[in-house]
Amino acid sequence: MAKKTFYDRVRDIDRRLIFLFIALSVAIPLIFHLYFPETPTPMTQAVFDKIEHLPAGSRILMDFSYDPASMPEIEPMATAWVRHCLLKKHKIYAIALWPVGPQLASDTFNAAVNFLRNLDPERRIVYGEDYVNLGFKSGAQGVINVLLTNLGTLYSTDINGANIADIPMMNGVVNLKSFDLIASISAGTPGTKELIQFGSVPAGVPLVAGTTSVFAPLLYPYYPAQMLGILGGLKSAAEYDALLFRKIKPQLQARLRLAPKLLQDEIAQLTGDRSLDPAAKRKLVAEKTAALRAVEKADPATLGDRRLMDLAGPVLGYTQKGISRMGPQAVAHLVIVLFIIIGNITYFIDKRRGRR
Amino acid sequence: MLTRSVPILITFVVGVVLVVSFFIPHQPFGKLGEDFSVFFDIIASFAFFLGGGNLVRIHLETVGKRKPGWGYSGITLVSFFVTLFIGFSKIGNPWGIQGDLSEYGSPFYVIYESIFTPASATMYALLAFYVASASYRAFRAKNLEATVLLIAAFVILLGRTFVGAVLTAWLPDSLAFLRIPNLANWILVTPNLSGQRAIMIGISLGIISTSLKLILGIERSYLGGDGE
Amino acid sequence: MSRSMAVSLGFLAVFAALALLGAVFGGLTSPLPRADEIKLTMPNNMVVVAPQGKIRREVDPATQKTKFVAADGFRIVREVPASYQPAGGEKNPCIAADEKKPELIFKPVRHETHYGAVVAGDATMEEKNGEAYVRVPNGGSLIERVRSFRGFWTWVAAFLTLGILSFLYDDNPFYKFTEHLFIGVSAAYWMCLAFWSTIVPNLLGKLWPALVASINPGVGGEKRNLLYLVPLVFGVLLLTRLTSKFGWLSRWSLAFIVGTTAGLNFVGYLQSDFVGQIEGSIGSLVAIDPAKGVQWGATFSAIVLFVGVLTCLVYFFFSTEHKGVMGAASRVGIWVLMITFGASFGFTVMGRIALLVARMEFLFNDWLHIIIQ
Repeated sequence: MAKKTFYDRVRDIDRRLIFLFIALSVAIPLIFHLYFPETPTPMTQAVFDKIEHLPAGSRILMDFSYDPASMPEIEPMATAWVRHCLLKKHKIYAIALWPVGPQLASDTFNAAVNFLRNLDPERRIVYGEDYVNLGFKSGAQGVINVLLTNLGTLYSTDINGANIADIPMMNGVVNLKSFDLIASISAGTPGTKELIQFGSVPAGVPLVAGTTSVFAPLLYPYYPAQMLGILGGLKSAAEYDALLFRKIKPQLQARLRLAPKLLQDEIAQLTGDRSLDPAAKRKLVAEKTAALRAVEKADPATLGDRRLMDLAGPVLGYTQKGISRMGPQAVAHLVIVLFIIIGNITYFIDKRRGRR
Repeated sequence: MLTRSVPILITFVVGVVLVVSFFIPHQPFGKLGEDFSVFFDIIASFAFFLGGGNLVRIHLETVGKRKPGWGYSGITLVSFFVTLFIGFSKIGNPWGIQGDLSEYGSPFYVIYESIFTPASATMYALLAFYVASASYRAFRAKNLEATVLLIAAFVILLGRTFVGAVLTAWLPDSLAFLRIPNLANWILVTPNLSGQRAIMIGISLGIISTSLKLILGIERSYLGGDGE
Repeated sequence: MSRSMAVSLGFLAVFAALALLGAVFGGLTSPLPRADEIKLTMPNNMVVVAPQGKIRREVDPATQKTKFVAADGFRIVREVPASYQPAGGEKNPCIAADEKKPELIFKPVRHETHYGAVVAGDATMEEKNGEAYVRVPNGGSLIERVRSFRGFWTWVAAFLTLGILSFLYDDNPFYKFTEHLFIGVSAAYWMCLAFWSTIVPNLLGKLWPALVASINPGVGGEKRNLLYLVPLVFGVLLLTRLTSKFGWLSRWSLAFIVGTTAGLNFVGYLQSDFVGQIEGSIGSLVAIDPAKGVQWGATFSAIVLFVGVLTCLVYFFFSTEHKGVMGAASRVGIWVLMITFGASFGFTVMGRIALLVARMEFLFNDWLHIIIQ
């Protein structure tokens, strides 16, 4: 058998090598924490503006219809939306058309509320007054059809078992028309499409959507008449993160100025805590001390955006998973495009040689 | 009659009531429509039990007859019954039987976070590798149409990342619409929108006609064969 | 050595190598909880009360038992019985707190203020027999066990993740084990969720409200509604599909499901996906700004949009031959569809890569801690 040339090896490359290239193209940027600035597109800006310009205290029905498999893309936009709505003092009513949705909603609320408490300790965010988790109901279109007429028929309790009549923010909420906006976060069916078809359009309530990249192109026909805007995938989540960062940057800077005192208190508390595992305590103290040194050296008012984001993470619990994941995403895209180009080059060379 | 006529009658009544309730939301159609929707939601929950029951039946048969791979079927059955027991009894839930099923710290939550989530997410993450491999092997610009598809894909792939912005940042403002990110946005809201819209109109016509056929009893394939 | 065995050994080697990498360059997941990860959980018989100022303590004159009464529309979800005796004979913390202070102090649990929940001052952790416990001061004490599972279960999650990724090299027993484990867990998971989220409150709660109220107090107070026998019967009939003798009965339930879906879809698709889409396609083809005149960019886009929809619909019309004008129009339609599919392909790749990024993030950050900041 003739010896394989380099060209033959490239043309007939083992697919496991391709897998390795893809894995490295994601792992290396991730390990070295590579990410880039994001410029919002008009679509993301439209969604942001809708929530920004709603009067404070508006009722927003947020549908958490996704599962752990789609969390990487959806979780950053869900977190950003919840943060934005709570910052604007809107009331969030969480439902789910997917079984795992309520759990993911709880996790999102917990993370967002925790961060907002760190950002503004004076602000009181109370479950039952600012946000409520009504849980999952099976039936897709059936659920939405009931929401259209009488929400209380199906949702008699929230996920904690409290009767909705006892939850303050449920006063005055009868059906879909009681809401000012529907924010649908979904990874497929049932989800945004069903909410548009059976909910938003019959009720006349505006809707904004956040979906996975796979699903997003299928929903564009609803724009702009039946859907005000859509966040499609991780890129849009990163753009929304960037817009929200712009909005809260002054607050972050102000809070970070107080960070040295906060961190010193935390380090003192950790050091005095004899019950913690010594190795874990050492690691925690080292992390907090490094964050303290970084904060002491820098003046938040003069820091660049990236440095500010990096500092706000360990100090205030500020995560921007959308932006941080776009770095490996960009590199992986480039690698795939290069693979496609190489594949086509080999195709045309073989075609010219008359092999195909 | 019981196997065919009654189900067709049920489909007809339920379908008509729901269609009419849209146009006449007042009593009795409004209330009937709402009730039927709630009943549908409840019956849909029973479908989960049907799925679980079917799974148990198939794997019990595999284990019972010692078919190839019966050991793995045993793993499926053990994990199924253990999760079911923990979930139904809410054992170990900090709030007991009154607590939320997925209460933080409960064994059910542990199963969700440490088994369900990583397995489910990784299954889908495998697709990234296969997409890359398939793109390298099969994505060829063999004719004009394939080339158009390839170029659109490139614009989207590069335009939705920082790479696209860097590659065409040098273009002057008068030609800003040719920058890759702007091209990507334009592709999404114009040609992509029109193509998806046409597909959506076609699909909706199919669904509308099929729904009508189902309600009127013309389409009966959901009933299965004639035999009981 | 069989191929399957070789791949399995390879998997174990990779797992061990990554763990070593994490030990050398990062810090392996600690078995004990971090201070900021402590999620306090309350035992079943702990009082869950409304926020500060919304509760008062009363003694029931008939039974002489202590009870807590909520004000302002709040509702107590659970009560501590007067007979409650925490371990070690220590005082009931809530009553003790109530005696020392008229108001109960509010404290976050699980990083949120749980509605109708919690009460105590700051907690401290102590260790007993290798388990972490939380001591609540305020004059009394309540030992609560901190449930921490991050260390061991993170390793389990990492093992399962790598087990599935091992399929990329070749099928092997670790992948099969993970796959079958996942199938069993996910089927049961969905069943449990459907049961507790829909069947208990929406079916059993309507037919046996008193029984359900003992499990889920929020459902209490409803009257029995016998109309819900209908979905109960249909639901049970659906399950007969598992039998061969009575499987035909499930057709009745399927008919109900099909009828509901058909009825809802008929209107929904007609309104949103047919009329709505045609309405969206018919608009002004010339974009004019009163101040600036004709907007050529927007006009071009509007024309492309309209022509695109029309030509794609022409392509889908197969009742006549695609010749002449029809042929030209359908050709343009094909190009528009190619751009659509190209965009869908690009988005699909984006979506899949994002999933991989998150998995890698879990492995390198949550498990191995080797992300360089």
